[in-house]
Amino acid sequence: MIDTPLHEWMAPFKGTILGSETPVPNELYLTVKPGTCAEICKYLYDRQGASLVAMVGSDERPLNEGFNLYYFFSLPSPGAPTPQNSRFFLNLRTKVDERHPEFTSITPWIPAAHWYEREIQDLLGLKPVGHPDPRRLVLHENWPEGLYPLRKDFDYKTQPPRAQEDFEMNPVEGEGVFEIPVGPVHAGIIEPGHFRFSSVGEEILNLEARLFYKHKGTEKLAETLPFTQGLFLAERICGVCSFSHATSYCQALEKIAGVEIPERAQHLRTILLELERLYNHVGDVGNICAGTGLLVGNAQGTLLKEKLMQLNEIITGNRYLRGMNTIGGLRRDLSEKQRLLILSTLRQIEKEFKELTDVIMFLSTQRDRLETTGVLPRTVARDLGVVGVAARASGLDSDLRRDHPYAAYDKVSFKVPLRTEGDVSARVWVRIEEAFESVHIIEQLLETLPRGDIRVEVKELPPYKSVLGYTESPRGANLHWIMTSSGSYLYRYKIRSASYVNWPAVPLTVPGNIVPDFPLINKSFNLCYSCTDL
Amino acid sequence: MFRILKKSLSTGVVTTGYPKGQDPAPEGFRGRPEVDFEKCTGCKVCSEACPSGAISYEDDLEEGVRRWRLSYAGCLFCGACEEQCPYGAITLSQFYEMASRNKEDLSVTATFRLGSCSHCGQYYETEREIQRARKEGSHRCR
Repeated sequence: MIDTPLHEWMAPFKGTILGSETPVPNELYLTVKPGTCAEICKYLYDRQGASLVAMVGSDERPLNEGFNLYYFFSLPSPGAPTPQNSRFFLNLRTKVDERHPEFTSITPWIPAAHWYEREIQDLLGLKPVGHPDPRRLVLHENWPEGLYPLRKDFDYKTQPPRAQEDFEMNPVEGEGVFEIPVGPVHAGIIEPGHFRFSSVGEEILNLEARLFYKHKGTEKLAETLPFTQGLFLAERICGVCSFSHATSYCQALEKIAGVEIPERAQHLRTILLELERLYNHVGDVGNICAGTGLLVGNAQGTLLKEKLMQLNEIITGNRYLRGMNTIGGLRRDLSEKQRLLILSTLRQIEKEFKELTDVIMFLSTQRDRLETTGVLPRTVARDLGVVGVAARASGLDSDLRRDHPYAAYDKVSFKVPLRTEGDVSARVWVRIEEAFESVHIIEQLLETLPRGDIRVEVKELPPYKSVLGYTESPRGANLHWIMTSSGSYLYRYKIRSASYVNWPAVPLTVPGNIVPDFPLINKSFNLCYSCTDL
Repeated sequence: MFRILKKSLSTGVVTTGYPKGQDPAPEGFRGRPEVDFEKCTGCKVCSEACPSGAISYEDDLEEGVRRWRLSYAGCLFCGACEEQCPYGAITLSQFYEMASRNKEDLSVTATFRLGSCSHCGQYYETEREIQRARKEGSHRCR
């Protein structure tokens, strides 16, 4: 909550603030003079403990507002007594003149901005001056120069010609250095990404990743949809974070509509969010065993995950919990029979998961593979703005459920596990501990489930209003920023998934490990390509 | 080692016999949408609700018919059509075995005659919908 008057901590920049708004209690929007933003960002990062959580570019020329950049920070609330609800979101909004489409890059001081700025360059044609790595990111080299898809004058249905350019990957040279390209077509049913290894024998010297093979114009498509249909798009950004994304979307629009969804709906949403976390974590722990070759562990983990997915199907009609969320609450209620089924199934799963982890995490051959592998140092994680499981395994204590509570998380008590080793083992242990906490959260919510409606009607939305919707998905913090358009359509929909911020950290954890460790490290982060590439 | 062995032996074989045996989806499963053409008036609200364009229609103003199509190939099984249909004519069933050798088998089509305005003669809505509205004295406000 923002209690401290604005001028106290923004005092050095008083003259640059052109306007401020607080559309919801924990989001503060400041419009600042063009050209001043970089300095303010550095100040917030260095002196106020802010983390950059998203950066959005938007073409607001049709609204006579030019191009706009939005910098989102998460800041500690001044004087917050407890970790619960201890942070708020600050948004800095600044205009970029279309005649001079460039802005000062903040990446040299805040590395977490690196991908956002490159994405804005690719999709909107605004150049980040001073960016240390201004190569193409989102649009591959077959996309022609000068065509910026997120600009409003680019029609969604445009079929651009193919260009023929080269993309430079950083070469590593030396006696006996071997270059191993992996992907984008992988040996397995996984999403496409390209990994270029440079190794000497088994040891990896360098790894560079190239993603965005699954870039499909999700954000652009959203701009052609009424808000009711945007929900189905949000549900399908990703398979395993489906309910989290849908919840973020709904929460943003509910704030814009100014509605409070019924308490029962808040509880049920939270239960479903935790069910999603649970099946993901159980499956991921089993999947790690596939990376180490312990197939028994993988089979047992998959069996538990399957039981959870069948539970999902009975409760919601869909294994991935799709079709439950709507703007204003939920589409389906939970019957007493289903409530009891969840409780009994979770009791069984908890027992079996404990049995499984007691065996696999203490096998010496398993520990040998997992411990000290793929270390993500805390400073790197902090600089890149890493979130979620990967952050908590590297000593960064951040969890949206506790720091920026939403849904019914302020009504339950739960622990947020924290480890400091930053290796594969730490990430697996964070998942295991979180899985048990999820069971605990669901049980609390099912015991205290209030009666009542599950939905309020939301027929239309005020135009040109924007706000954040966010959830802690199984991978980490998801932020959705939506600006509505007239007629209850969407003007701009920015999806910043947890995987988007965490992907750049993965190649940094690989050098020094052996080649077979790469799939293991990748599985320990378990990031979505689809959420990232959009 | 022995704990692993013991665990594996006590788990046994979990693979079911499907497709030798049946494996019905649970109640409430979002499966294939089924249309009850006794209730459907061709009002096309489903088509407007469908987020993926799996339900589409085309008004042929020369022949005076509305051609309606539901393609399972494009269906997301989201249930928006079920929710929005004013007459409960479309429901998501528990059926999921939809694999097909050709795309045509994945479409359900229907043709509705259009009624024309008694003043200007222009076709404006299906005859069924016009008759229902006349009988019930209401537009599709449910």
